[in-house]
Amino acid sequence: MTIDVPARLGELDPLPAEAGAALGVVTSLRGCATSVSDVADTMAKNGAPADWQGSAAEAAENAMTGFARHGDAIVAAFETVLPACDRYVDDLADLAKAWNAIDGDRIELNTDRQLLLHDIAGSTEARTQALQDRAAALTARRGAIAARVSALWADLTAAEDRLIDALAAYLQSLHDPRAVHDWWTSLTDAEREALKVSDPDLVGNTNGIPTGDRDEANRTSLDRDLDHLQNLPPDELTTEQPGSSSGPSRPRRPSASPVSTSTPTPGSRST
Amino acid sequence: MTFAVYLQALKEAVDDWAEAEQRLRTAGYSLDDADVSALGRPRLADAARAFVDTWTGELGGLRQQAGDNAAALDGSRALYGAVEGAELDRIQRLLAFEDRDAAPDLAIDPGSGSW
Repeated sequence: MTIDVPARLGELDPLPAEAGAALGVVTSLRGCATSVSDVADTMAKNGAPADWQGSAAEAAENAMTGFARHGDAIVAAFETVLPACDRYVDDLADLAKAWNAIDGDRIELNTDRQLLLHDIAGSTEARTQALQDRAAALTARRGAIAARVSALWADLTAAEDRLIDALAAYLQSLHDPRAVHDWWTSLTDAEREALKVSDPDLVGNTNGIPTGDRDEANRTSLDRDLDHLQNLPPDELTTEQPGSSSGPSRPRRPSASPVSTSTPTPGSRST
Repeated sequence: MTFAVYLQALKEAVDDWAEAEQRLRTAGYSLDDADVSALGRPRLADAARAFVDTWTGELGGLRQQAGDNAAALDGSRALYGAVEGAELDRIQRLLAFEDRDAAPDLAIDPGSGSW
């Protein structure tokens, strides 16, 4: 009678990442986000320096709030990704525990297999059935371990996919004109018109917004610049504004609409 | 036209922007330290690298902006300082000889006129 002893289970492939090393990456990202957040907060609180007045104060205020907004956009990207990173680190820790448990069972299986081979070598015909039962049990254990290994790698792939999705979400909103176009077309006519009036520079310079709308926004922007310049007293018409932190003078346009504007990321709507 | 610039406020603004630039530089170092290959397989590491590269670029732009603002304001501060010096010389020449050693008011009242 033949006894089918299962093949020895070879070493498991190591996991491609360790939670500790991944945590180091996350710590670096978090450190960056914290620094940028601090800078953006400081600039948002600062406003124009004390005792500044007139156009210089406006220019400083604009430079600081614009700068703070830009910083906030960077922080927002990190705040979206960091929870996904934390979860990935936790996933890696869980996967490492599972890997160790599987590896322990694999080593035990191989030991039991060696024992079985030893017993078969010194056995008599009368014990064949018992040995066959032990071999069948080992085969079942081997199958269970192989299934757990497959599940482990599937879980790792799922964990990676979650993090990739989080990482890609902001990249897409930043670079993909189609995403901007989808966001723009999701707005009502009134919301689009209001944005063109309240923030023509943003609308005029954003790829993904239809060219007709961008053209209208740019014309609005030019008209306002001309109106502003034509209404300035002659002694305020200069080629440069001293003290301006943003180089040559560009008149600040008053906001003409209660519409608040935001960076055009898909899914966000101005109200 | 009267020049009215509070040089100390200008100096503080220069310092604020310079500090922002420095802190953003530190933030950039944090990003540089992120060894994304430690996250795992290439498909994930590549996505993480794209993320880090993108925000490294954005951060660099922001840092440049802070540095440019600091430099522009510092340049203005130097120019105003020179103008004030020339103005003081001119005023002193108009003063009676015995009044010329009066201590100049370096901080001119910012509310006293427009630029």
